[in-house]
Amino acid sequence: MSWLSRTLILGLVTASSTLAGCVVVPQNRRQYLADPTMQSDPLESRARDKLHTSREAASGGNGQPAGGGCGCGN
Amino acid sequence: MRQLSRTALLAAVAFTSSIGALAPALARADGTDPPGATAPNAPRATAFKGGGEGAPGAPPTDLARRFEERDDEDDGWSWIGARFLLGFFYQQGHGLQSQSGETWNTRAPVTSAGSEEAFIVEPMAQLSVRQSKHLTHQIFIPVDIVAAASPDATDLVATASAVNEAVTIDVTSTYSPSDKSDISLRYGFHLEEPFRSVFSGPTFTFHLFEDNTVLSASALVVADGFDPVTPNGVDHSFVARTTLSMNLGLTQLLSPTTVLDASLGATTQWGVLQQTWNSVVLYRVQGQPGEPVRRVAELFPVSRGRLAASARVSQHIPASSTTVKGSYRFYIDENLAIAHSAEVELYQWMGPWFYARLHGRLHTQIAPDFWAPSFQDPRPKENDKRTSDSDLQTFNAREIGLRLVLQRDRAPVGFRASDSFSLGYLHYDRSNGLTDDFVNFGYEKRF
Repeated sequence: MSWLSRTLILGLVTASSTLAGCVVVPQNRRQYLADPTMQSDPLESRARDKLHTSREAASGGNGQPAGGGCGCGN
Repeated sequence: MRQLSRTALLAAVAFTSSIGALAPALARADGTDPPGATAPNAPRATAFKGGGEGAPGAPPTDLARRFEERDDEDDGWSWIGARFLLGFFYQQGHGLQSQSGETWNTRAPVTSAGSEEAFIVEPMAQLSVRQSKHLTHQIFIPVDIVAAASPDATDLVATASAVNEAVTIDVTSTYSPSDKSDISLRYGFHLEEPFRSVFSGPTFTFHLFEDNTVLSASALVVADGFDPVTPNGVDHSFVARTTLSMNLGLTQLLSPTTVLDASLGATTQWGVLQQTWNSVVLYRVQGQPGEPVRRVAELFPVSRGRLAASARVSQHIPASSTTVKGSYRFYIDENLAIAHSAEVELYQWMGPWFYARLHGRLHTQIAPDFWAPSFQDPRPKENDKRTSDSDLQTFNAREIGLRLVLQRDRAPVGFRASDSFSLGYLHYDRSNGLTDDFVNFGYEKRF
């Protein structure tokens, strides 16, 4: 089994354990989760994503397409 | 590809198991909690529907009757919000794919990396509208005005593409049949010399355990058509490539102040994948006839599979009005390009209606197996893969940025309004010499 497979299994087992132990947060206790600092500005995020995808060899695979314009080698 | 497929399968199985581990959370869900507060992962359920409907424990209702009742109350088209961002990039550096000299209209020596200096103006808009109680649309319109990045030979001689414009219309229409699920369709097009591109794909979102868990599955197909302009500026008609992306996403509330976001995605591409005007340095083997060194076009494989996994934890600290976010992303593709990216964001309220964000990002990548600074002719195979694109090289990248945000809806009466302003700056630099500075101004209006 490669190091990549081992790393993925370890990470996902850890994630499973974390999620299994998490509490349910009722809707009247979510005021901190609604704080503006807990959100991301979608436009600023897209501008930064584009900076990264057009200058690095690691685009795609995260819900955003690789390709679709931008004549850059990614 | 075999290893990549095995890894993808393993990751998908493990991801499914981790979702299964959430089952005990359902048993602990308290269906009597009053609705009202807005969760960051549930803008649809609370902002558009008012929440409360379909709480766990409620008896199943006739779906058709519920739709009819809601349609009776339908108040038609209305604005939800609008965002605008005006960004300016200034880039400096050198890359072997560029043929530009140090000043415009001059050519770099054939064996030297050309200039990648570029100035980019990037206005963007995002409009959110509601068509009915069940249907909303988000329209995203970015425009790029690029002054000279990696020019080809025609640009150098004729300045034909001294300034290049690109525009995208990216629409996501979301249909919400209940508070527990959404169906979205993303569609749009991209125009850019010499590109034409269309894309479309669905997203299915499930809101579970009173929105404590949000799961999504999406697919997107992108069809690109472009003129295969050679490094010497010759246009050989028209070629195409296709991209299929699939993604699984999870947002999980871990505590009243903690959120986890995770995603796992795969992308496969086929067709003409190289940038046809990018060139590599080709040395002729001694004794062969012809020029000893010349530039030829880069060549990519005809298909390429990619896999990425990412996770982000956001933690709010009420005592100090601080939010900390940490994220990590892993990427691998079948040509053995591997990348790791880690980012930390620190948000701090400086007053009741003004906050600052400081962020830092580190990225490291290993070049695909067909990258080299130069190649030799004849190659072992006539059409062997080759690239010297500096964006694909092995390098480390660092980024640091500051953003200031003014939230007027929290301002004193008299200055209060449902909008916000932002000002941001970031500096990005790579170990192979490329630097970028990005300044942006943002405005958001909520209706």
